[in-house]
Amino acid sequence: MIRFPPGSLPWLLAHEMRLTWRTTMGKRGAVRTAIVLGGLGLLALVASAPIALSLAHRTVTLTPALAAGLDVALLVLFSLMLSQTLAGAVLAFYTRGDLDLLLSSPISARKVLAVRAIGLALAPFLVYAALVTPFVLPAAATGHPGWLAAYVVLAAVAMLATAAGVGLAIALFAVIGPRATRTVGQLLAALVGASVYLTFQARNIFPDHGAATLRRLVVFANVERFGPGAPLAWPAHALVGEPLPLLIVATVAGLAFFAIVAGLGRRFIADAGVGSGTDSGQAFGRRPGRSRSNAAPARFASSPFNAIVRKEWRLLLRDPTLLSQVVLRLLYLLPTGFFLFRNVSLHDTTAVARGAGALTFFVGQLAGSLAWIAISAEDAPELIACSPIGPRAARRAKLAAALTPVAVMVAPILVGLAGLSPWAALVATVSTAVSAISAALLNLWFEKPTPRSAFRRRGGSVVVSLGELALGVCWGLAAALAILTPRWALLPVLVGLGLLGVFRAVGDPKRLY
Amino acid sequence: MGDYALEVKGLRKVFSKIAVNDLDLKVRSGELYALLGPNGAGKTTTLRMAVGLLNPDAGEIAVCGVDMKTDPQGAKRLMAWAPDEPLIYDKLTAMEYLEFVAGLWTLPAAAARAEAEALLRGFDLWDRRSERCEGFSRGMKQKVALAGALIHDPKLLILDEPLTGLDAGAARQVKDMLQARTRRGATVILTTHILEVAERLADRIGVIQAGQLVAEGTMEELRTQFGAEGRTLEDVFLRIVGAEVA
Repeated sequence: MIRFPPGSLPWLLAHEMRLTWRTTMGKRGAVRTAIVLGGLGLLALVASAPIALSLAHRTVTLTPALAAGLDVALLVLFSLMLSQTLAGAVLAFYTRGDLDLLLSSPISARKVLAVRAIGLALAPFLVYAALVTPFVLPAAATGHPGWLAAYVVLAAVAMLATAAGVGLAIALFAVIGPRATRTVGQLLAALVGASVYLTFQARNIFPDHGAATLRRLVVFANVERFGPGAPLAWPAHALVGEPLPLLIVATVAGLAFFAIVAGLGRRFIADAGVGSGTDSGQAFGRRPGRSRSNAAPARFASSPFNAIVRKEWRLLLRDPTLLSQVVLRLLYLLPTGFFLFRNVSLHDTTAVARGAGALTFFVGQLAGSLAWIAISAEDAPELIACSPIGPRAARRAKLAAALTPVAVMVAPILVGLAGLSPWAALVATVSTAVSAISAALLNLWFEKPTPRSAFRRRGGSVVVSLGELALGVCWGLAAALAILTPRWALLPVLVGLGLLGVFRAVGDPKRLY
Repeated sequence: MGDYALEVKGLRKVFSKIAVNDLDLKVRSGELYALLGPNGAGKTTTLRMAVGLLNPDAGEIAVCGVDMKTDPQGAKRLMAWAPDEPLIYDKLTAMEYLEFVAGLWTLPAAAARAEAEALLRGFDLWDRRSERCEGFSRGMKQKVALAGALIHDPKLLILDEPLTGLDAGAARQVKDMLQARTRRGATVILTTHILEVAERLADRIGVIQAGQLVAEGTMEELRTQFGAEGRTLEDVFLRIVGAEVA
């Protein structure tokens, strides 16, 4: 094993990598993971070999249109990575971790940020590098060695995304303050991530299916702008391994990355100290007695049911990670809504059916997310357990807390649909209700108590995620078929009910109250 | 039965080994009872069964005459539980937390509001009632949790290491509050490793070892029983559990 001088950048980086590796591995064995990953990699290589072989010894000419297309692909990649790095940078402000130890040591703040930033960049780089490897490696082996430059370009994009993410997080911190940064940063990261999907869904939003925008883009991507030597084409040319564009892209990304690390190191660490030291108003200069909710009179609930519902809503709204997930899912619902109504006006029953099916599916996903958090994320299960409210009543209240926001969000779409097609609206009402309730039940049957602070991402049970997917497909299909050919709708309904029965039978809730 | 705030008969709980072994315990209404014992003696397990968080393998538990097995909701309505780790929500403010707990015990809104204000003022938290608990120190969180435990004016208050993490001032507040509650007729059962606290506050002391009650009585009774006149509770306790230092 290579030993770096203690306190040096590589030494600190090696330490971080070791921690990350052990966290990722958890209790699983490294050998087992390596075997699984290796097997998957081999499978991907075999699967992609035909594509690589078909490209063997074939000259790929980088036309202006292809260069523009590759640039767009890199832009998409950048936005996806930015979403990840911005969320990571915001999280870094609030996660103390071992920052106390590092900052109380003689290691410079700049070095600490450099290591954290490299960690931020490394995560998306490794993911996308793994994704392109099955195509790049065979292609490189069969006559296109220049394509190995894709790794350099990926690293450059990751460094740019990290620089932008860290810079944005620091700017947010300075402009809107630490409390708001946590929420806004997470939401922004979610929006950036969703922007790719929304861009591709533009044809559902624009009245002309986005044709005019596409025409403008084609005109923009003319020979002068994306021809050989044009600066806009450099990323694309770098991607296929042309030395000079590759050098330029790598240098620009490296400079941006190091400028952020060198210029903002001290600021980042100071912000992180404020952000993670304490999240109270006191720490951020709010004086006692002047906080925002002081003006609002205390609202004591009239029943345990109301108390639990109110508590759950408050906690849902104050969880930036969850909030960003809900906003994301709503964004994903948006094009569906456009899709549904645009076609309804044209009396296209097939399109209405597709829209109702998609709506049903997404509602199940949203309800599943909220139910999972409301049911399983309980910080004080013992408090509920030793209160006079029974466990069944407590869970009913939690389900109500999870499903009510879903109903409120979907109701306007259903009302709008009722004005256009009462039958479709009735079907969609029933199917969305069934979808939401079954997703919630699934989370109830596989309850897995976890402190809310541990809910960093929508991980949860794989069985529940798969179950939600399968049931969502069943109910969505049933809704679509009920609008098109009602008698066929019975089939997915029966499959869905069967699945529910299976999940009910194998459900193994770990209950603390 | 009505004379006892907590009555436990033949309580038994086995995990990988016996945690509580045919334990009998009677705590009179209005007294402050300290349950002591070495680490792993079964104190917390006993209390968790008493508040309905753990099902006993055998035995009976009655809270102010209400049987925990047949009417758990009724029994829970009468008591409060405050473990050493505060049962609070970081994302709720202190006032919102009390609103929530008051809702769980179905308190009338006006009474709950007044009690919440009195408790927060009593614990010096009134000025910070609108701040989220995530920014509170360990001691402040403990006080918020304690305020939550007291808001429904429980007849029986069970506390597991209530002074953990509290500074001297906060510890004094809590001790005064416990004594005030017992003067008002409530019963307090607490566990603590700070034996001076038990010696000074408790009306009676029970010592549990290997899941069994091995000694019980007032301080004087224990001294007499174990031949330790004029000695501190620490000396008596070490003699009882057989860990006396020469």
